[in-house]
Amino acid sequence: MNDTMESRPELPTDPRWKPERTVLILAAVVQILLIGSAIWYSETSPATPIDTTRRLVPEVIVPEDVVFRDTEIAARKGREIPPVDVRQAATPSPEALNEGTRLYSEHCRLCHGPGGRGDGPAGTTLKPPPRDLTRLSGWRNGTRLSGIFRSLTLGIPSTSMPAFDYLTHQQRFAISHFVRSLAAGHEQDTDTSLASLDKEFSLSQGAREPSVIPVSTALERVLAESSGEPEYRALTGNDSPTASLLESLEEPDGRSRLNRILSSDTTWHQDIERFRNLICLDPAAAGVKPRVRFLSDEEWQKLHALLRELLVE
Amino acid sequence: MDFPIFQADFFGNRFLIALIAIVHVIINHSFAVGLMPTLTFFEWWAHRTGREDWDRLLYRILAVAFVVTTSVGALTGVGIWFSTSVVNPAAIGSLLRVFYWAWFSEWVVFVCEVVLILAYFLTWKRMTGARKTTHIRIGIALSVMSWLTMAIITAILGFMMNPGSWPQHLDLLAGFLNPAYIPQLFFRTTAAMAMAGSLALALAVLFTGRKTDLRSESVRHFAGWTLFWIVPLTLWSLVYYQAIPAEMMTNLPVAFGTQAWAVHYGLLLKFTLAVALISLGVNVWALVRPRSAWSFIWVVPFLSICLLIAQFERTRQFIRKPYVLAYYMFSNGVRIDEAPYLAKTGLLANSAWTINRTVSPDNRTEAGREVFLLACSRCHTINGANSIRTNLSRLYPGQTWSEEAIEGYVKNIHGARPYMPPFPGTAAERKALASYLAALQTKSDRIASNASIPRN
Repeated sequence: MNDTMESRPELPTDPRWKPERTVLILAAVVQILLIGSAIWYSETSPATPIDTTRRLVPEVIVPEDVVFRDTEIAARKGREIPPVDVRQAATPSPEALNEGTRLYSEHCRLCHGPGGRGDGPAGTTLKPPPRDLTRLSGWRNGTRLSGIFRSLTLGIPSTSMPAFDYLTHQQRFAISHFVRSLAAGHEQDTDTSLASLDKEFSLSQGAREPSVIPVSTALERVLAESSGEPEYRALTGNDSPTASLLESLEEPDGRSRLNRILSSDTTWHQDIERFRNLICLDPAAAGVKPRVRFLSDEEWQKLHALLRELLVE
Repeated sequence: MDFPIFQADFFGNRFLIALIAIVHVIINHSFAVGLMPTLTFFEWWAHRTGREDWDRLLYRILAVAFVVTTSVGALTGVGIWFSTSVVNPAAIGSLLRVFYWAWFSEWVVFVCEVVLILAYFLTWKRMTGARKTTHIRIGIALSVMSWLTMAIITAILGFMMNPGSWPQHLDLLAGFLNPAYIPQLFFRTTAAMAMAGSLALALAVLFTGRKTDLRSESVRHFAGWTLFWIVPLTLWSLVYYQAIPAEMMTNLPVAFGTQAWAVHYGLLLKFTLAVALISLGVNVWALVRPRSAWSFIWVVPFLSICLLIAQFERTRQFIRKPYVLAYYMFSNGVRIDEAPYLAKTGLLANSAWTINRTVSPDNRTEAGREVFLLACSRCHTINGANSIRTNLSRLYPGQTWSEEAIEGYVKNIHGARPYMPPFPGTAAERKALASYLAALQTKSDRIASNASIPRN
């Protein structure tokens, strides 16, 4: 390598050429281009204004209960809600405070912190931050017991505070009492405010929450009922070879599908080829195993007769 | 939800990708994109000034880069696409539909790059004398191709943070020229140059004798090369910072320092700044006193710039949460458009590889486990990195969560943690998940890497 390098014939021959100058000019050009383009780009590109109302995730998809609130409430089993004596529940008692302490620690402490200062570990990144329950200004529903009860029941929209409507009324009162014990100087409830709370959540009436199902489920049921599909009769008691053939062909829970296919059409009653096509076109949709395609003509005849007997006659 | 679940339950899927990707970025930027123009420039300079000792030094540095880029560099490059494809096939599938021709071009450019680096390295000793100019031209072509591979992939990375006008136009060009593209491209280009300077500085120490003139000269030149790029790099990183969508900025503390360190964001920022300043200081020191220091100090700039680029990559990857593809697909592979549908009809019922299709009183916990796999396991593990068990117990020290409390928390998860996607299923599935997570606090569970069992 040394030899070849040394025998290199044309090193720069022009004595006026100075590598330093070329490098300096090159460097200056590159710097001007890079710095200039950075300044030009940041000047011309539209600045994104800090808009606190702009959300990372469109509100419409969180949470799902909101989206389908009108029609798609989650299925829920009904329950009795016993009546509450509002006046008594609104009076603090050692039992309620004890219960409230326990419930607070389970449901609230995570965000609001052990002392209620809004410094719980899960609350550190919330926006807005969890309320400091020891400071009494700016409470969305006020600092009365009824206001706290309302916040617990409904949650606070557009914050991280969820609704604790799955707790019983008594439990919500207990938590409210505990929250009030964290500081002094809360507003006191009046008879009218308690009465309006009572009315809003029908506390002293008690209630019976009926079982609910989503509208889509209800629609499916209504459709199934009104289509008047005849379920084909159970095969019990029928121990003919054809009946056991049919049973061996059925997919688990395939019977309703076969039933639906066969009752949506009457042309197969007299036409065995039509019957065969209905099932063989898509055995899975008809609720039977694919090997149905390999039955003999004789077996098809028997099957046709059996299903006619079960569904038509 | 069309794909089976792959779960690296010890490492965590994100860590698996991050490890491969960060190694690749360091190699790509410092050993290829930055180093090739650096070597070509100094080769030209050594040629014009007749410095054979410099020519030999550059050849040795290239030898290292040649081995590293064609082995670990190429492997990790392909490894990124392998690992991301098994972890989040839906996301990679979506990117492929948009960037099909970009990826195709990438492959062509990459093959050219490999051929050129073979030519550049293997002919270095042979193409001397009159042919040296041709050899330098090969170096220039190699530099261009190396840069092009990065320029194409950067478009895809920018798209993942902000697709810009793509949702309106749905064409490749709109996705390619996304708002984060140009700033990130210039940022990466200048960063690669600075990284290469620091790498060359570290390697020069290895290949030059102590107290020789070549040592001090190379130390000074490579440090000067690094410092040359610092001002444009700083400016372009500020431009890039401004290109981050404003509503993602709330993620910055967690993105920068993980959830555990988010509260110490200010401290971490100072630490990072200190690392950058130390690196800067060593480079300035090299300019002023190239002889008067211990050898190992010249490795510091490269180590610190690797640390900084790794930190940057983590932040860039995390800040777009809860999305994997911003405003289009959540980190768990659920498209934003299908979220309401899934919330209505169920995550389990719409996933191809689930055993429990609906939630019933008998299968709640089992179904909840499948909901966890579908909705959470792209980022969370049971027992390993970002473990859901540890996260639960850390939030509620010394106590167990009740099922209701977990359910309430999950329901509001995006509100509580803006980087978490909203829960993507029905209320029944949410309750099932809560039941599983509650059970996890007292029972252990293991998730195999092929977690979803094929249905017959």
